[in-house]
Amino acid sequence: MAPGENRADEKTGMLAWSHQDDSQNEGVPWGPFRSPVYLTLGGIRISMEEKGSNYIYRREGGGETVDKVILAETGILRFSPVEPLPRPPGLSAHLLIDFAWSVVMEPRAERSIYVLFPLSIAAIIENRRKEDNLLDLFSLNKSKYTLYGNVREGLICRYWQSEIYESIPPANPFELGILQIEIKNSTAKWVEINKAVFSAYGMKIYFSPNLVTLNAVMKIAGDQTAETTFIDKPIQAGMHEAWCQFIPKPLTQQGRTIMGEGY
Amino acid sequence: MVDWLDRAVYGQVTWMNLMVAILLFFGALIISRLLALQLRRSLKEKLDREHLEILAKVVSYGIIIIALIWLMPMLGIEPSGLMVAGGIVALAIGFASQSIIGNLISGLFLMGERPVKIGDLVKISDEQGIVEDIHIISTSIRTLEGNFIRIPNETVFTSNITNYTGNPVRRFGYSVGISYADDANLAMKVIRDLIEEHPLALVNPEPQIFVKNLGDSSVDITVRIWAPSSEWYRVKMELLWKIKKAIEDAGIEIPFPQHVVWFGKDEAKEVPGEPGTSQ
Repeated sequence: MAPGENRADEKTGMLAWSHQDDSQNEGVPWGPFRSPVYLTLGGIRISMEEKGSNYIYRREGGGETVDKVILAETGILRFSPVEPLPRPPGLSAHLLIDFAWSVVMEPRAERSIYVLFPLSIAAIIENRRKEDNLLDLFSLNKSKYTLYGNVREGLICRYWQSEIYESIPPANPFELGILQIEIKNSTAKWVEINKAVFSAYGMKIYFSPNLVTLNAVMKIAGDQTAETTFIDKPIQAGMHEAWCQFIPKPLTQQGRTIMGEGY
Repeated sequence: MVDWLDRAVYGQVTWMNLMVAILLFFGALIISRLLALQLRRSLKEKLDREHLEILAKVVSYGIIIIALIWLMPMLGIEPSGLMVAGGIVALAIGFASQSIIGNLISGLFLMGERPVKIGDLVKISDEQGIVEDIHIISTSIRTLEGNFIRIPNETVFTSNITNYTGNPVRRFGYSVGISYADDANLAMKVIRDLIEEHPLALVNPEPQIFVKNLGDSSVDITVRIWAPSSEWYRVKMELLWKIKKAIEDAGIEIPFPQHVVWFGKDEAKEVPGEPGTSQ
């Protein structure tokens, strides 16, 4: 059977998300899905069908088509949110959140804010013994890059502009995650914060059917210096740990970013 | 016991001298190994493996050679005699290997200064290409046409080096000419929208779009864009054609260079610059 031939059974919209009626989101699945699977996610169509004793995985949309043959006795497909991945690979391991409004903070204060961050999605294949492997990576977001710091030694970062929220805002969990930032102004001055830079190494993403979250701390250390780190803890109970693409390296990359060129 | 140690092995060299020399030699050997190990550990992040190995060996063998020269008198060998003979040989070898030594020393300086790294797109001594390898004597680059070029390190060290990918980002630009009849503000908006759409045209440093010149045949708009150094050429190629298409789609003309040539005299028309005609 050719891929897409039995589309009569297509479960289009199965992963579609609605923030109009939150009750509709209950049970929105990240998987596992058994073959045949037909899903629509934003403008992307994903299928996995049996062909002989193999499986055919196909992703179409966003100007891209990916076809893969899976040689496995039982192929189970599931999805997981992952860190915003660079395209082309290796271009950047940092995310810069540009605050749509400046955050002005009093001296020696600690407050939490929420911002949105872009996600990528990993399609993961699993066999009967639950041995899994990354099958595909894609994103529903448009990517944009920027430079943090100077031209000589700056960091190329994935760019994302976000509003500032006081509580968890509604967001499509297949597209955007909620980043809780605990800002600690350890200086004796008022500070104005316009951006935050995070390392993709050490991002601890947790997800539930309706929510993808990340928990971070931003410590303001001086006029031009801040430090960002992640906390390995979900912001709500009952969330699952996401698939991790950027594995922290032992010494050099611990998920800590020193912002030495202003915030 | 003492008598035995004071006995001569040969000439005036006693067993004691021989044993002390052997012990000191092994001591130097251990120190050289430890120092090489320490070098490997401390410079692991700063130097690539091949160069680190060369440096560690140079230091290690250097210590052993110094120790041997130091121990020679203890073993009844006069180093000054060897020095004279060695000096003459060294002089001859030195003349013969002048350029090799020059390249070697340049190679060591290059390793310290690191103006280029493997994988960088560079221009060295009028040769442009990607650095394939940096050896102790020479640097090899692959030109953009795929040719292999070996450049002696002395040439690399004394030449002007342009490293196109030495910084994380770089700027490129275009000059886009539009006709005088068209709206330059509209053209600039079309170009800005396109740049904002392109993921690898950086948000910061900001792109610049402005009218730079009122040319003979066109209003010239300068476009300056920053992109990651590893991707700038692809971005440059992609955006130029997109800008051309988008400007044309917006109904803006990219004019050819034009000259108005007047032939003869037409009484019905005034010829600019002709004597006797009104200005």
